[in-house]
Amino acid sequence: MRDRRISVALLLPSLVGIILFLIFPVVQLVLPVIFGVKSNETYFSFLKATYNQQIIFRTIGIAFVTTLGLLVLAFPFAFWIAHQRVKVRKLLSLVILFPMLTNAVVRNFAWILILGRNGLVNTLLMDLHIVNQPVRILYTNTAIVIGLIYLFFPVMVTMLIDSIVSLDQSIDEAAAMSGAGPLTRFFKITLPQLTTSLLTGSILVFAGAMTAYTTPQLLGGNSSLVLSTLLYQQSMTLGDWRAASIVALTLILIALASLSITKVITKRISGGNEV
Amino acid sequence: MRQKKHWLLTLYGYLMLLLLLLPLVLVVVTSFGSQAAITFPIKGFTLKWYANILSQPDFVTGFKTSFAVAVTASFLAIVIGTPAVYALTRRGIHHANWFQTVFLSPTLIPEIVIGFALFQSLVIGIKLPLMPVLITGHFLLSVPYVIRMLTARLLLFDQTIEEASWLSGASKIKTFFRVVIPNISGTLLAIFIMCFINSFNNIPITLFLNGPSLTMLPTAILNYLQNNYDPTVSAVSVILMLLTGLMMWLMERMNGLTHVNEHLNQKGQK
Amino acid sequence: MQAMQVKHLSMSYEDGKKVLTDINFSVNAGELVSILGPSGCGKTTTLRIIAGLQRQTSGNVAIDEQSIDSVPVFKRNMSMVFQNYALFPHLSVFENVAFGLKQRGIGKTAIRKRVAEILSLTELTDLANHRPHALSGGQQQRVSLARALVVNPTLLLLDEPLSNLDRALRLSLREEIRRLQQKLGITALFVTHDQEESFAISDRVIVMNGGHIEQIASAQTVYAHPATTFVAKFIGFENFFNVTRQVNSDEYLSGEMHLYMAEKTTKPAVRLCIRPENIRFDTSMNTQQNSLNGIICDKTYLGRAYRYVVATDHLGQIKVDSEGATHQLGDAVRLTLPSDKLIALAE
Ligand SMILES: Nc1ncnc2c1ncn2[C@@H]1O[C@H](COP(=O)(O)OP(=O)(O)OP(=O)(O)O)[C@@H](O)[C@H]1O
Ligand SMILES: [Mg+2]
Repeated sequence: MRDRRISVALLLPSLVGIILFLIFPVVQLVLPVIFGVKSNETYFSFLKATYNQQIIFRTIGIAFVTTLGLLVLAFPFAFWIAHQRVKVRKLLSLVILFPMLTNAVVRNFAWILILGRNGLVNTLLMDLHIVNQPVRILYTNTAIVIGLIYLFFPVMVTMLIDSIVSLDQSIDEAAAMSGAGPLTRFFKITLPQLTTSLLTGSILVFAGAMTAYTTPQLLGGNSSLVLSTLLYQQSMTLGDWRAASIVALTLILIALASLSITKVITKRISGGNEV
Repeated sequence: MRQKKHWLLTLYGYLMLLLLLLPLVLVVVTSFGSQAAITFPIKGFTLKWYANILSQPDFVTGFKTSFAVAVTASFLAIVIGTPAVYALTRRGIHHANWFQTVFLSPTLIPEIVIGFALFQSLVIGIKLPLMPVLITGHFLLSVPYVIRMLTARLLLFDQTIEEASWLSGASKIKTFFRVVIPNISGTLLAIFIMCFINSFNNIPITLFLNGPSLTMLPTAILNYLQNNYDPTVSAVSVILMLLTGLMMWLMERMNGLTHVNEHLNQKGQK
Repeated sequence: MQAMQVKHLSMSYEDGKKVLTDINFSVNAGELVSILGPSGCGKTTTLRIIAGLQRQTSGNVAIDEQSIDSVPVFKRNMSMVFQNYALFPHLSVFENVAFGLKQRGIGKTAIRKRVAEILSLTELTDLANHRPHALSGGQQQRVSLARALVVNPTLLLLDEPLSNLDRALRLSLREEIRRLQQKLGITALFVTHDQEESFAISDRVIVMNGGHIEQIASAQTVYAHPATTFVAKFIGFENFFNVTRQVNSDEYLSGEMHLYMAEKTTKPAVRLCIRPENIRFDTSMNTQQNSLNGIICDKTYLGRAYRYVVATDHLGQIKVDSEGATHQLGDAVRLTLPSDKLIALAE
């Protein structure tokens, strides 16, 4: 039983820390929304407000387009890297890691430089006489999507590289020997094997895009609010704690839902064809 | 057995690489432009924006505070998390999965919500001062890094080595400090750096827990950006990128970057 | 003198699986005893319980008649040589060997002297400053051995120390272990699943199977007089016959077959066995003692001999090893089972 006590002593500090400082505050935040007086009413009146609906749909829309864009952009890139020699691949992984570890403010600021009123894009467009007036890109949903894609691109690529690299080459070779052409092999052999990582990667990025704060704040501003910026605005600027709590609960639900979907997917797929 | 690479794919690869790095290069370039309004192409060459950083008290104190908070939180996370990982990987704990989930729960809840919840219940609710709550928030961010990266390392570390040490007469505690720690020190350092970077760069949690008397660098830049649009931000950004580069170099020397990749694969939230 | 005794040791894992049942044996001071048995029979578990790395469900382990069940692993003064060497990766060869002495609070100069001695005994002096990863498998295992010996352990435990090495190295290191053990007068328990290794190295052999002990005896006894069918099979016996003894005679009956055996037993019913290489093909068709007719029904080349399977009229299928390739499938042959090669199992 002394053994048991030692184990408890080793686990307890982290456990207490997380329960006391994370789980307890979050529960304290969420409970009144769910069980408070007239909680249903407030929740539904929140959802019914057109303004809030707009924000919810914008958030979902932005996350959706971001995820789609990432799938299209990241997959071929990851494929390209995965087929480099090991040394080159390692180097490229470092190059990808660098933006990932760079402050999000810096990364978004870079896009302000590009998309802003006097930014790189507008300067180019006007110099080439394509437009006479600066086009408004910054502080639109498009800017947020671009920023989020830039933010999550390295994450998606890294996830995909690993699963592409660990693909079983011999399956592809066997298919080639039985006469399948490169395109057939790609769509019938390679892609199906990557479904799990493509799906889980997408969900991860989707959840990340739904809850990201810095990018919508810097590139969307107050004209393109999303849930996370709304949460900050409601709580710290407007002091409406109730509304903020409702937004917080919504964000938690989104995160937990994507997590459970990921779990189900990885279980179902890896359960089917365990190595 | 690799098929000939398609030129189109190669072209695409280089293009994406360019798009990935170009924005950052742009930041570096604009930090040297002499005009207060950032325009393209930049005019002149100056270092005055770097000097200007030092005349922004928010940036200077923000850097110091962010640095101190990041060091403290990372250190705490390692000191508190390491025994837990050791127990989970070595002591045959029942329901180890359940514990893992609890320890990783900071990644399950959106950071902005964590910030809000901490602010509401600890700062408003029980009136704790901002600083300890801020450190707590950053500690929570760091714990999952310790759990994942250290679990990976300890699972690779042959347990019979510890047993050999016990048999040689070293008690379990002595063995932990004289055999286990020296062998995982590289990983511990890599973990420390990862926690540090993550904490130093954090915005969503910091946002709720800073204040007039507690300035943090990322939020200071964010505030500055709301009111100004001049190359000072570029200059600060370059400093931050240099810091990132330095940290990556350190980790590479520690051979810890492989673990980092493993971890980021599973996290990916920002 | 009995240095170490294991009494009524039983062990079940948490999943309820019983891996050791009532294990009893002792190792005398200065003796090398080996535990021989197939994979999964509980050898490692036994060793780990003795070392204190695992707890038994019941029974106890004693050193000089004193139970050590309450002594923690780091105070048992035992050493272990692991199959995978388990050297400390962050320490040099010298430091690896010195580690245990340091824990015992021995002074620096004394440590240096003692380590130097052991390193020269194990021919590792030149490698003293190398790190383990810079050594070959054989060298690593010698370091592991040096580290185990240097503390002058009450009991040296070796868990398949040679099984990761190639054959030539296995043979030479086996000799070395034996030489050092005898030279230093160390009491040792050696676990292996290799019969030849266990016979070559040990004073006594413990044969284990399925969590219990089948036989404890000297190598010669185990080889010549296996106690049970399992032991007999494990050390190369192939042919088993259940026989009953005729009243007041040395004749044994298996169905219609009369068998004579040099060894005398008093039991009415016994099980006899014989190695395939001890059975002779008879060229003369004379009726001799213990001979019978059969037809070759299988023939395999084993390298050192041919293995024939002969379907006999009285004793079923009998396996015979013979160097000659003369017999063909379907041939009618006559076999003799020499009476001095027939063994009666105690069981
Ligand atoms: N941690 C465990 N939990 C449950 N069963 C175990 C555990 N460790 C070992 N066993 C079981 O106990 C039995 C004995 O294992 P042990 O390692 O002692 O065998 P062994 O004789 O050393 O085999 P080998 O020659 O393969 O090393 C095996 O059937 C094994 O499956
Ligand atoms: Mg074993």
